[in-house]
Amino acid sequence: MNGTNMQLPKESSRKNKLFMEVYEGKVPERVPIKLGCDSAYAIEFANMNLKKDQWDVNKFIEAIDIFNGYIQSDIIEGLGLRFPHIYQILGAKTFKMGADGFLQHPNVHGLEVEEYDEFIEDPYKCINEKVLPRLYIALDNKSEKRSIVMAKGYFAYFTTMMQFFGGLNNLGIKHKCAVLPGGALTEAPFDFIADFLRSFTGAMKDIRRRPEKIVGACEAVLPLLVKKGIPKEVVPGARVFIPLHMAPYLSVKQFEKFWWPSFKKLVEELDRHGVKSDLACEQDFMRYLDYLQELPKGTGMSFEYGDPKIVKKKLGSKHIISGFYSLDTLKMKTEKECIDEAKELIDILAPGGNFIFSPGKSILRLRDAKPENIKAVVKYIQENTKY
Amino acid sequence: MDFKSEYYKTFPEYMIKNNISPEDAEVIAPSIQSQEEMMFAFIMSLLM
Repeated sequence: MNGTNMQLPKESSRKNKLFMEVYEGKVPERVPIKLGCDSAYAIEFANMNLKKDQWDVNKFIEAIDIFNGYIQSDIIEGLGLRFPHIYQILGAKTFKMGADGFLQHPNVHGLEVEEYDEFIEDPYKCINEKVLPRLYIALDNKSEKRSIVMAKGYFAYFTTMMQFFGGLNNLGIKHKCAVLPGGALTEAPFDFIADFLRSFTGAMKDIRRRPEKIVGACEAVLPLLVKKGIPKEVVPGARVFIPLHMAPYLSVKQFEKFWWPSFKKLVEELDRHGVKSDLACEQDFMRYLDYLQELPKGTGMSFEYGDPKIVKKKLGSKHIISGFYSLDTLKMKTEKECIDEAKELIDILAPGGNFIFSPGKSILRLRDAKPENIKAVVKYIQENTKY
Repeated sequence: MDFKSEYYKTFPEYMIKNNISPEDAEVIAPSIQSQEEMMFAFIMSLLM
């Protein structure tokens, strides 16, 4: 099974098998690699101008082609989901381009505290009527003008995504990488409320001042987030990516009340639909390992910080573990030191399978990691991690 | 775990509102409902 319905080169099929076997709970031929390089990294690697060239999807694809020709990893690296022209058309306050061209997420909110009841009653209606026009100011207009802006944004979004992901699939074949089925993206209910609806600061205030409302909002939005997390085609290997933001900022008591219950239901419900989740456990999740243990077998979990030995012991026989590898290593150390640290981590996490090698954080900018170090680590893993 | 909203229609709801017969539903549903689902995916993506 692949994401293209095209005949894959032998090497692509072999790499697909590495991932699919991990997803099926089998021990693969060797350790598979997912680096999590952003499209901004690829653009900077290709000596393009981030501020100018990211307006053109073809430039994105050209940069990703150049970067992947260099690193020759297991999957195409340089995934980007944020295209500035879509945010520009809609007048976005959610993502703003910084002086160097990188898209930043300011601390904004689209839902006022007194609107919780309205949100709980019909979240999707409230999003359309209240939240979107505040966060996307070109939609804050009379209905005729709003519908024209919405049509432009919607058309730009789907045509861009089709062009971008079609391009990535072609590059996967060209560079003999794995071409996996299309997945989905969703969020933990509390994170969804905190990201753009109430903002980080708003959500943190609400858990003290409006605790029952925020619990109600998480429950109300849960069915929407389940729906958002189901890929267009539910086939083996089509997984949902869930970046986890807020849990490390909560006390265990707050986590148990506000964050965990609706999140657990989300992952379990997706699993009931045949969709496995890949969680990016941002910051430090070591306090929460016993909770993560309760999630359905085969859930992917990538960790930024913590003790890989404890994680392997507690979660490694049930879940797929990734992460921990330090970006500082890729940024500052020699190729040999990078390989030595990768080897150390692999010795802890690879035995028995259930492991995909990845850095603890996404590699966003060229300054985050030396390309020659990434290439050296990839080559080492591809040649030296046979089970 | 389905959700109900004034702004989202399942195809059975759409059939009733637009007087679509069960015989026609089979051929109409894929083209109509996929648009509802794509708009939902787009709107939710704006908040992630």
